[in-house]
Amino acid sequence: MVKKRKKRYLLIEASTDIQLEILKNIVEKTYVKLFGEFGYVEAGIRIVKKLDKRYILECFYKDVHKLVFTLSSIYQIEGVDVHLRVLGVSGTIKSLFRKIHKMRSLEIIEPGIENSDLGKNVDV
Amino acid sequence: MGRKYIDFWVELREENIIKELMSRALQLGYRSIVVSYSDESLYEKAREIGERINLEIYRKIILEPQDRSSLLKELRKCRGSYEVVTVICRNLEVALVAVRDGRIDSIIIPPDKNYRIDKGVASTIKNAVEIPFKWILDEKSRRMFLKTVSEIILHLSRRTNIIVSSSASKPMELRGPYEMSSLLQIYSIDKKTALDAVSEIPSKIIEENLIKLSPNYIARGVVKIG
Repeated sequence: MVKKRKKRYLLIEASTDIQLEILKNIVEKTYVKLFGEFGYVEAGIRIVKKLDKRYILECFYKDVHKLVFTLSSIYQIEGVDVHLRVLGVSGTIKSLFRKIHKMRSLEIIEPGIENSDLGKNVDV
Repeated sequence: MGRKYIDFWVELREENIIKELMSRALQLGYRSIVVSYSDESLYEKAREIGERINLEIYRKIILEPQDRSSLLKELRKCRGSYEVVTVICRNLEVALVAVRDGRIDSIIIPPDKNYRIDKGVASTIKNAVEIPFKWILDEKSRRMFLKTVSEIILHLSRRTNIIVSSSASKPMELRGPYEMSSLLQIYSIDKKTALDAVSEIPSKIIEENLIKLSPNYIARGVVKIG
């Protein structure tokens, strides 16, 4: 029987608002540059949601550190300085939201994501 | 209790961005930062802001000597006034002295070095090796830098400690501790060791140096009490 590969969801926050298509392209371009075409396909990277300046990305468990490294090595998008900060990594979107609310109560992140956003589907 | 994260190198260049730089470091989860500066007033301002926002600030000097004698001369001059001393090893002569001098806390091997990290360097190394994350942000030198990091990890990681610092001079160049540790994780270093590179190892160096700089310190292992 084929074993199902574990996934992880990453919540990232951009210093400026970036369009989904642009973010998708820059992540793909940087990941391919660092780990190659094969690495990109194997990682199964997908942008799941966009919530204001925050994004939820999906990838396979064994490639999380590679995706984190890729995101942190992105410094400029179209000539503008940006910082993509990883706020949290979780096994399900639901637990990621739980983490966000906990972080918000500890004032690690500013308010912005509401409970009602959980149900929204903004798949790319 | 969680880890205490330290950014081992933040460059203070402009006075007007110090506050933003420091509040961003705090927001990213750092409890302490080590700053290098060219002007004493920049450090004073950073210390003042640090006290207000509860962020510990330590001083660091970056030495970039051309030969052995200038390295030793500069070390004699500055060791007593900074918590951390780091040497950028541009050539093999400096590297061979810097790796075994106890007054140096960390060494930086730049991507444009003109020597190989071989058994000679590896066999004598005593000091920690620092990897500035900012050099990865530069796309032109990224490939060479990743190659150097690979050499460092292959030859030196078993013999000495590795530290990852941001070396940021602008708030946008700062990276969080998990992001910086991912640099070591992509070279198959486990998560715990990678996180030690931004927490435990720099913390231990600072702790040891603070004891050395205190007026009660007499010699290695001897401290005046009372």
